[in-house]
Amino acid sequence: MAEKKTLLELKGITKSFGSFKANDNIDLNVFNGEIHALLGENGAGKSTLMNILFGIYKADKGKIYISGKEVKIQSPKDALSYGIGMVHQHFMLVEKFSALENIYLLGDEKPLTFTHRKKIETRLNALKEKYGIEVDLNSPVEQLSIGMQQKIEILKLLYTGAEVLILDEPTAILIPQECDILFEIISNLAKEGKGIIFISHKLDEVLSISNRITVLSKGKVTGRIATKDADKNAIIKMMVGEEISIPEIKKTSNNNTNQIPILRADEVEAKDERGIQTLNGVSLSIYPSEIVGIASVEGNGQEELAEVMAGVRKAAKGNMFINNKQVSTRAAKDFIDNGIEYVPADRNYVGSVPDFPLYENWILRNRKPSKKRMLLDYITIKQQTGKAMEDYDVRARGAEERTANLSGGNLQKFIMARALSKNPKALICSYPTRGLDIKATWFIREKVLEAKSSGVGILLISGDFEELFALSDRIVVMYRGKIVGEVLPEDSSVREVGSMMMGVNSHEDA
Amino acid sequence: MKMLDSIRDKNIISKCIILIISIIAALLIGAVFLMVLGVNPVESYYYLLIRPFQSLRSIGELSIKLTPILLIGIGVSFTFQAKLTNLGGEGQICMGAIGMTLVGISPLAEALGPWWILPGMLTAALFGALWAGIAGFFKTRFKASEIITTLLLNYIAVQFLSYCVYYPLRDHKGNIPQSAKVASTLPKLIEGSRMNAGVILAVIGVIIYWIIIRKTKFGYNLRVLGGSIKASVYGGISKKKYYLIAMLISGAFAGIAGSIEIAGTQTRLVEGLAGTYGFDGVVASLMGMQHPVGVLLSSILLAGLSVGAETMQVKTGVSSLFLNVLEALIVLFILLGFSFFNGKGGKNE
Repeated sequence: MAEKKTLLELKGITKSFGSFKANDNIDLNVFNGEIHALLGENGAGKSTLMNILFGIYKADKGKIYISGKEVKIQSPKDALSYGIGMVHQHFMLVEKFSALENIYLLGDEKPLTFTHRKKIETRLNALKEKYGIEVDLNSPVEQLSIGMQQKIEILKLLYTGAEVLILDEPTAILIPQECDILFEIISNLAKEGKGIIFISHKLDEVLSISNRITVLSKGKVTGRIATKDADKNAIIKMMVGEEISIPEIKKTSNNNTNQIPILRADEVEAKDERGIQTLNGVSLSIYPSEIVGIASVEGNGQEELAEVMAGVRKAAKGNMFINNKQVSTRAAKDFIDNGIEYVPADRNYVGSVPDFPLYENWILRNRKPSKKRMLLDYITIKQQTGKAMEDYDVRARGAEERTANLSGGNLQKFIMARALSKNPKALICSYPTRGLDIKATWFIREKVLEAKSSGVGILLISGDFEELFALSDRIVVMYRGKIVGEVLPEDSSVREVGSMMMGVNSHEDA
Repeated sequence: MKMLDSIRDKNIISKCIILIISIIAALLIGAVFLMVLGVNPVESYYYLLIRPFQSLRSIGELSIKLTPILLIGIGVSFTFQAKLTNLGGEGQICMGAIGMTLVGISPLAEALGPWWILPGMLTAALFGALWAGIAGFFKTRFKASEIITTLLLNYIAVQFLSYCVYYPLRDHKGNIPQSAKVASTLPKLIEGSRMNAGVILAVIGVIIYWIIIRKTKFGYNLRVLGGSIKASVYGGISKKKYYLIAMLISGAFAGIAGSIEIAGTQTRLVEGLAGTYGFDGVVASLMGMQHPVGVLLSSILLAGLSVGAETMQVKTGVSSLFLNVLEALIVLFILLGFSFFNGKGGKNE
């Protein structure tokens, strides 16, 4: 590696939105050949900082230096011309275009003639070779996998000559195998002297690939540390501002053979919103006191399975049984009356009505709210809401607060409190901790575990492998609307489950 | 910023402020039109806005216009709560009026005396409900837009009413196409004005609306549907059932409005009796933001304006059509105000 020089330096970046300080006097520098992790919880200010660097927001105060020279970045175009590139969480690709056409779109003004096309292709092939990026240049982007599209984004930045690459939570959407490939590309980039800002809230991956870590919390830098000196607990403390005890989790050994499943799906098929069949015959039983994890890449039928099992989606074929009694998948009321609770993935529009005050959302999915004579007894309902908010540490101004004003973590705690207040027999959780901070995440997980130990059968869908392996008693893998395998977390690995999710190495025929 | 924030927090108050500012802004722009016409705007607005409330006689006229606007406004509010739109008030009034007339000129009415009005109103409510129910049925069964179907059903109902007064229900004693007089009318409330007991029924309607929407599980379910369809599925609320019931209720209210027109104001079935009440009711509901008091106040405003417009036309020569301009401006400013404030509403974490 060449000598260490500073590619990029941010000094005293401050940015406020109204009275809220998203970034408060942040310093950050990136050397060449360095992977610099920017770690922080949701809302810590990582994205704001990067959007300032990429010219999408304008900082209120602070300076940006590139190779020692002060620059003003007014737009993404400026940023690119200074050699700063960003891979966003949502890709900026034209779906119908091929990789090559997307890259051409970025800056070339010459017409895309045959010869020019060849020229671009040659350059891209050279870049692919140099950094070990395997992508298909000529197929329409929409036909490629998410991992592939991400590589195209990286290639695009390299083509424009980016020296500093910002990767905004790049692993959030990838399966483990794709992560490995990405990490390899990233370390190749670093070897060639590029500077990389790697944004993440996942500690493990940050520790494994970065050189230095800068921790943000509530808009401020709360820690700067070289990765080799880093210690997990110390970093969590920097991120959260306090110690978080991670509970010990007892697994339930499976002795389900003699028990009656609380909830059983038998060869269930279902269609999604667009009318496309995404669930192709799934049989699954949930027994008391167990957590069944579902691992699958999004869009492989797991959401539809959760909805059918929660009684909110009609099965096109197949049957549902509660305590071995068949129920119609047409009527949510049978599920509700039989104690099947559901914590949906979309907490804002499915799990609650955003315009309602909290106490009105308290009686959602409740067929027997408190009444006085014929009328709803809002006095009692408000008391119940207030009590639940206290018990579950839901931070809001009170039961009258408009639901849309709650942060994700508080709303999820509220929905969890509501589901568990009804002493359910089974609980279906769809991505229960997605987008939550560490504290709220563990709060929710502990509640799930508590419910399990009190006898509730739980179906847990999650995109977070750590969560699936930590909480589940068994993990069921789905691919293309079918179950392709079942493993015990203690006998399996993230890698094995990851390949099963891609439809390879499965125990059954996919 | 601070001030805007605090306004946004107090939801209802901020909305009221928007409403009042919208009305004032519309009046100001209207004043410019009036000045172009060479009329003194202060004088015109006096006749338009103040005069209707100054005499018992004109308050009576106001109450007659208020009753149907308010009833339709309440009925439409039921559907708006579930994010359904019933634009069929006009047709539903017509059907209600036909139902009322059928009972009112039948031998049954003679036998019952003044009590015929009760079964008459029930019939009218049923007729109105069924007419709206057609749209509700098409909506739940075939996903046909209720905006279109209710609107189209208006034309059929209006024509059907014409047919009724020309042919089957025509009173052959005169040359005018109209039905015979109904057996008896609603009692008058104030001597020397046309105010009748119908307005009391309309106000009772507001109270019933308030209780159902705010205090019952049924009203709650309707509001969940309006707030988020996905949440209603999650909550096990049947969209079809509640859509249909909301339409039926809405139609029943319009039908009762029609029956009061017959038993209170017209005393017989005539063409054009629905007037613009159907759409005035929709405006009243929107302006009142489906809040019971809001709908009541905006109905009073609309009824007052339409009484005032007639006075204004006589006294200053400004066409009563000026009212349409004014109402359009009010609605425009309200929409503008709401989209302006909603667009900026953010989360406070």
